[in-house]
Amino acid sequence: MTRVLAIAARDLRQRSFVFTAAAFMAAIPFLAALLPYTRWSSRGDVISVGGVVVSIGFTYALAMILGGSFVGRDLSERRLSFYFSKPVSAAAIWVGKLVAAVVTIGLCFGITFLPSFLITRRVWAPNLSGISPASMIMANVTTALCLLLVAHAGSTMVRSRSPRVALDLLLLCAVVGGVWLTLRPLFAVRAMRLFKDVGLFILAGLVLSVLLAGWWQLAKGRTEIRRSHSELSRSLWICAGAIVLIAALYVAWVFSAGPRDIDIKMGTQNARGDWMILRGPAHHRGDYEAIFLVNLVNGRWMRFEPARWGIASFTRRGDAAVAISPLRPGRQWNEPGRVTPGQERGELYVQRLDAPASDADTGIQTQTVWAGVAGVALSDDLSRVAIAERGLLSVHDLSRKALLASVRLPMGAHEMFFASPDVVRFYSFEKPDLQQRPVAIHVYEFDVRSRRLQQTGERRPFAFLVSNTADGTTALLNERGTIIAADGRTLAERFAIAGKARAAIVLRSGGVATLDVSDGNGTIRVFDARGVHLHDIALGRAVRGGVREIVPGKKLLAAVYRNDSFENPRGMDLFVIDFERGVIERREHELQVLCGMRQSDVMPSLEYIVTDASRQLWRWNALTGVRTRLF
Amino acid sequence: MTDTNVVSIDSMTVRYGRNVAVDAVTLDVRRGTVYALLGRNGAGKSSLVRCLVGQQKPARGRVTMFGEDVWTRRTHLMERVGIVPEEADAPPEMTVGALASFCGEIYSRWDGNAVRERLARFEVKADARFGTLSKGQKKQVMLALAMAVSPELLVLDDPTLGLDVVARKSLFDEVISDLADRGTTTFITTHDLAGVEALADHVAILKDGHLVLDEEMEALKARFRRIRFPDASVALAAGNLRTASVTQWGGGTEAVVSNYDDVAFERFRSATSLTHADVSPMSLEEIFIAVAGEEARS
Repeated sequence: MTRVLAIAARDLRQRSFVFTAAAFMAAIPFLAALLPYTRWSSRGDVISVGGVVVSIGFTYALAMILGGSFVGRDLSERRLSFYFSKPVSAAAIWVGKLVAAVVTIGLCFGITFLPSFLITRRVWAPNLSGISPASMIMANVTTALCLLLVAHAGSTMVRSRSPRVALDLLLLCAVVGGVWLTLRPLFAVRAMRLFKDVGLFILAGLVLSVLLAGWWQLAKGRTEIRRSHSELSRSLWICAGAIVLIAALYVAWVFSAGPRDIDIKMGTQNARGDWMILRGPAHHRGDYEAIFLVNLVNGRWMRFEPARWGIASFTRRGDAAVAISPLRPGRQWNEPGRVTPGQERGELYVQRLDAPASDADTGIQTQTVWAGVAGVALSDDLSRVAIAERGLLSVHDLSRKALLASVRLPMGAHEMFFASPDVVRFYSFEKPDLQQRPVAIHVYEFDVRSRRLQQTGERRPFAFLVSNTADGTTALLNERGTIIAADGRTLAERFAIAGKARAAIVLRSGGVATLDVSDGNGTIRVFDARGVHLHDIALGRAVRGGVREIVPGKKLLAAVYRNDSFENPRGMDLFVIDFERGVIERREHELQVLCGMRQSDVMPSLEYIVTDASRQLWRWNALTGVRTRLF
Repeated sequence: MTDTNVVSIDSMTVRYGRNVAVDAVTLDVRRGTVYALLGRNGAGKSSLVRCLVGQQKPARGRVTMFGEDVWTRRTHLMERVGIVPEEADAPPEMTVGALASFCGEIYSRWDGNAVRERLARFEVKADARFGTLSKGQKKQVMLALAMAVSPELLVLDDPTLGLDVVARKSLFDEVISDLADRGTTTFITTHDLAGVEALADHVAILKDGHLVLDEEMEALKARFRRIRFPDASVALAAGNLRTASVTQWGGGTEAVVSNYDDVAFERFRSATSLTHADVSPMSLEEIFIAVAGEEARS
């Protein structure tokens, strides 16, 4: 220790003139504030900003100069033998010289930074976007240390004048490439905390690598500059390679997570019932949230990575998965809680389920991410996509990645779908102002070929759109509990069902099934195609829920919440109802079904994916009631 | 290696790329002796010295000092060694006084008074910056620092290189007086053959990386003789005399014999019926020239 201190003290004394230079530099912000064009009111600003600029500039320049000379100069001038001819270990030489360099940099930073900071600390934070002095000092010390070590390694390599420098450059490129390849996937899936942690691990590892390589260089290379270079290179690249390899293996492990490795936060079964989307944070993998597309027929699954921040969902017909993901993550993506809706541009991903190997990247950019997939509709042949956002409806050709047409929306667009390959139909709400309830619902159709937007229907007073048929011929509206069966294009009323409906669907027969909730009790009500009441089936306690037809003309599936918790499957019951006979065939407690409950079309499969109270996934046969674990 | 050896070099080879600077050299330095390693420029002396003091790792072979491997135990061994390098390597911006106090912090055994006395004797001021000193003064300072640890082994790598006659004498006087006082084992490489002749007990000559000679000074000087005779061609082999060099001059011949003894010479004289021959002893410099190569005269 004494020898380390003796070497450090010797180096510090040798560089005492640097402190004088730092003192002169510290005066620069004050001198700048005295310049005639500086107003009195802004002199504090000049001093505070000038102090930061001068201290950072001086510190970084000093770190580079010291890094290039604190060992390299002695090596090239053959002066390291001065230490090696004495009873001083290589570690003591390295640590002593490093300590002296770090202390010199630290003191010089203090000398250049503190006077201006102490005098202007009241205006300091506002002038520097609220950066705290502690974080600034930490960032600077880390950067200066990195510069010092990088300059040391570079100086040793250059000063040796060895052809090995070419190999060093190649290995540097390999390490940089390795870091890029390791971090890029995390960046791509917006696992920003993990990205930051792995990045910091690599940075710390690389800093440690140079520190170890510096010691190894002196221990094994001693006074020979070429051997010193070769030992530095060998140890540096081996350590750096090992660090990047460890990080890459960790990232590979993170990405190896399968559907069984995630805490399911969201799951959706498609309309055909043969695929599902699962989303959730992977166990022990930081903030990496995986989204999987699971083929329920053959059990195979694929990662739907682009959808990390977007909301993935299936198309109406269930033949593709859609997601909008941020184009470029900004600062707010570092902390999920800070996401500002509508601030980020996004890009659209469409994964065709009949061709899972196809590229999901459509190359289509969206103005926002927050619009999500609710504002996206695909044509039945998956050749076109309509995107509604920020008052604009645009229709793109997916295969050509070309914009076909766009139109300014009169109001927001809801329940948008392609009525035909050339016609996009959507419903919009008329609101006098944002604070009031809507006063009317309108139907519009946008003809892509003629680029004409036409209002085809309207209903006033306003009624919520509850459901519509897959072909768009019938829409169900809810006007304060009364279900109105209307023409899907014009909203012309066919019949009305008075009651306290919370959900309703159009049956394959053209009839209607509703879920009414009254006094905390739910009732399934069935009507024929003319609105004539057929059955009431009491479900018991219910606050909300949904209903869908599972066997055309015969059976319904009702999902009913007994409390207001959306997340907790506890409190949700499933009912299989024979609506021909008006009886409950089966009741399952504490199960949550993952398929949509607003669609009027019938799923060909009778196997539904459900979760139980412990978030375990099951295949559940609605007819037999048999449950098998999915994973 | 025996207990009497302070340094043992065993089959040491030093390479720089494809160039072999030192080729399979084996030598021992006995305790209390002055070992002079001679060689022309580029013979590999400095490489050998760097390996000897653990500053460089040989490509092959092993160097031990006081019975310990010098590469792995350098830090520990340097407590017992004083080194005067060929090029003074102390930081030029340090004052002589600061240098001395720095070394005082490094060594566990340090005689500050001895340094001060020697520096006073050399007339080097303590507040003078090392970089401003003359070459001779730098060597003197380095010698003073090396001596201050009362070394068991003193390594002098061409200590008189670039020094004038006075400085050279003063430096050797200092070494001699220390040797007289303490009997320090000394390993010296030098071009100053006259200076080292009075000092060395043992001489080795390195030529193109090979150790071509390694023996006691007295024995070396006893077996080398210069023989001059008037005949142009005389069969020296007749007396089993080995010639290191033969030079023709005028009508006569001058031969340097490397295994001279009186019996062999008389056998040679009677075999060749030589009537007149001058036999004269040789200086170390003359022996060096004969061994290290005729071209060394330049």
